Parts: sequence; C-alpha cells; structure tokens
Amino acid sequence: MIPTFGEHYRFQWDDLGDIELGRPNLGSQLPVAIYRLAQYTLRETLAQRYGDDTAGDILRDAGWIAGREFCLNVLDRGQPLNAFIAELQNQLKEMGIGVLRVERADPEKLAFMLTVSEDLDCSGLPLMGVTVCDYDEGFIAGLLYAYTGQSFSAKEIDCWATGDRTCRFDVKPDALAA
Amino acid sequence: MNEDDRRYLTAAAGRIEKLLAARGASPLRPVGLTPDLQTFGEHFDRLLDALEALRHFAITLANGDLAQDAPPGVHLLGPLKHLQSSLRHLTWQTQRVAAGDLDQQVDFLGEFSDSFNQMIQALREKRAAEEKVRYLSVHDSLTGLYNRAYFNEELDRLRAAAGDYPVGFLIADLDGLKTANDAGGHQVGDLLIKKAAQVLQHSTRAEDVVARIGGDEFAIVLHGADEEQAGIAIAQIRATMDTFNHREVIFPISMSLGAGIATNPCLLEDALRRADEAMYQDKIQRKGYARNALAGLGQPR
Repeated sequence: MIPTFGEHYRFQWDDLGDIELGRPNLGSQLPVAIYRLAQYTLRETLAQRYGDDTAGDILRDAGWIAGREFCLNVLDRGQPLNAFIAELQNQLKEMGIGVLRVERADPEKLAFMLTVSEDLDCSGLPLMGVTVCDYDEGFIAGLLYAYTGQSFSAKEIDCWATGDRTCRFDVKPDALAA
Repeated sequence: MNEDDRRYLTAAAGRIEKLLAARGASPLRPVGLTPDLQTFGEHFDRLLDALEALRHFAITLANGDLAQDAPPGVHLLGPLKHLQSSLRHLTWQTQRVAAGDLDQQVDFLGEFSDSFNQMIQALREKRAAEEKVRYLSVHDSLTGLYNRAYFNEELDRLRAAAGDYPVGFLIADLDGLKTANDAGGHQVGDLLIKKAAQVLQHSTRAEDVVARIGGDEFAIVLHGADEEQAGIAIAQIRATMDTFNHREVIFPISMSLGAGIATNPCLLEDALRRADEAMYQDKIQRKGYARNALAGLGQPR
C-alpha cells in the first residue's frame, strides 16, 4: 500500500517538537492507557463519521506516514536487511512499541511473517472478534517502503483482539501479494 | 429426562473418557433433547471441537512441525500458538546464526534462553580466537604488515584471476640494516624496519598489498597498475620517506626500490624478477647515500 497522497504530506519529524525542552519535569514518557485513549477515541470518531472501513483506511495511511518517518529519522537505511531488522527490533523494544520477531523471512522476495508481542496498540484489549491493528499495518508498510522503495502489503492475520496472544502480520511486496 | 437424554448422557460420558485417555473425541451433534440438555449439548460440542483442535495442534507441535497454522477462533490454542510463534522465531534465529550472525539473543524460552545465549557467546569467543590465529598467520608481528605467507597467497590469487591485470610489483629493500644493527643494536634495526613499513603504508592505496617478505625486504602488489602508475608509486614512497626523515632526523632511513609489471598470469614471476633486479640496480646507485645516512646514526644534530 501507498496512500493516495504518496510522499506528499506536510508532516515532518520536527513537528514532534522538542520534548526535552517542553517537558523538563514530566519527561518524554506517558502511560500506554493514555496513548490508547487517544488512539481509540480517534478511531471511534473516524468510524462514527466515515464508517469502520474508512476509519481503518485512514489509520493505515497515518501508520504508513509514521512508519516511513520512523525509518527515515530513527533507523539506518544503508545497512543490509538482517542488520536493519535487528536494529528495528532493538528500537521497537527500547521505545516500548512492541517485541518484534521474525517467524519466516524470504530475503529474495522480501516476504515476511512477523509477530509483535506486547503491542502498544492492542495487547490486552478485550476480545472483539476482528483485528484492530490497522495503524500497525500501515506502519510496517511505510517502514519497508522507506527501506526498499517498494510498495508493501502488511496484513494482520492474528491479533489480541481476535483472541491471540501475539499480533501476526503477513508482509510482502504488493507486486507479490497481487 | 427422556430416553434420548439418557442415551446422550451415556455418549457424552464416553466422550469424556476418550478425552481423558488422550484420544480424539468427535462432537455428538445432539438433536431432540429436552431444551436445557439440548443447550448444554451444543455447548459441550463446541468444547469437544476446541479440545480436538487443541489435541491435534499439540501433537503437531510435539512432532516438531511448525508449518501448520492453528485453526482460527479457538482461543484455547492461544498459549500453544504463542509457543509455535516463539519456536518459529527461534528457527529463524538459528538460521541467522548458521549464516554467521552471532548477534542473535533469546529471551523468551526460560532456561533454554540461557543455554542458547551461552552457546552464542562461546561461538563469538571461538570466532575471535580463529580471527586472531588467522591474523597472526598472515601478518608480520614487528610491523603489522602482511607476511610472506600472505604475499604468496596473493600471488596464488593473481595466478587464478586472469581479469585482474595489469598488476604492478614493487620490491623495497631497507638500505644498511646490518650496519645499523651492528652500530646501534637490534632495537635500532627494528626501529628502522618499522619506520620503513610506515613509509610504505602511508605511500600506498588501501587496496594495495604491502608485505614484509624478508628481514629487510618488502614487496608491494599494486592492483591495476601499469608502468607509469608504478613509477608514480615509487615517487610517492620517496616523497613520504623524505618527509619522515625530515621529521625524524636521528634515524633516517633509505630504501632501494624497483618495479615490475605483469600483464597476464604467465608473466607474474618475470615481473617479480624484474622488480628485484631493478631494486638491486637502485641499491648500487644509492650506496653512497646510504653510507652517508648511516654515518649520522646516534649523532646529535
């Protein structure tokens, strides 16, 4: 997936501001519940206004921007694939986003089966019967787009919200998914 | 309770016995039971379905088959799916280790994690020891340059690589080493050898191979160099040597230099011989200079 606006969006990493300067006493951390409060009330509002599917698409697009910007600003894109994955695992863990693991990897086709445990977005959610990590799907696709220049499909097939203990993503280039 | 109810309860008890005996127990799909028991029977069937899926998935995992995906919507399978996910990731990690990546760490499989990580640490230490042995086997301990063994390996590589030509050879010989050893002791001789090595390293490109192939003799492989480039390399060495001698006037060095070019693998030995001969010619011409330089050994300026 690549959002219809592609790389032409206004957000820049600097828009996150100087958190150290702005929060000298409270610091840069906040409870996961507060992050989810923002995430799920935003999702609810989007769903109320545009319907569930469109709300999911919007969150996926937002995740794509986040993943691309995360890759451009946090990760070293010049390293080989396995070193890139190792750095990604470390960063996601250090930042408390989740524990990324690779179940399968085909470096030739760039096809992966990834899992994310202790996921920031969904781990511990009540059972909903549907996957909810639309934002994560976009994040992974955007991140790999920034690394490879290719359009990726990241489809969540297991989620805490469907009763699983880890989120599982089937990731492959769009050309391969088609 | 009617006759169908009694038959159902007997069959249900049989299913429970099968489950307790770790055997498969298919659902009963009851119909026509009294309403309360009918509701119970339908729930019991869902439990049987889930337990059968659990039994099947557990056997699959126990057999080491990680390729089978668990059926969706059976929440009883959650812990086993988690274990399967961990084992799949461990498989990928092991493949990475086999490919030489020793940065893999396991932190999700209890005591096994410690053992795996200890194994990785042992492999790292083994690799470091092997790298050290390899380094020592191809390097000269005094100068840090490649040694004769590595130079010979490089010649073998060049003999097998017809596309890597032309290749230039420089032979460098430190003038007056014996005299320096006799006059100032071996410490002074070692100092001059190290200085010559530094001059050669500073004067050549990263891709060139600089080796100490004898007590006072050095050889340099200039990849892709023709006669003109070899001449430039010699001029560069002389310029660097002048700079070093200007900076360090107490122990000046002098080197005799010669070059030879091979345009194909058959001419390698010939090029080396010509470089050696040219070096000796240079030495004869420079003897006077070396004598003058050595005359200043140990004398304050």
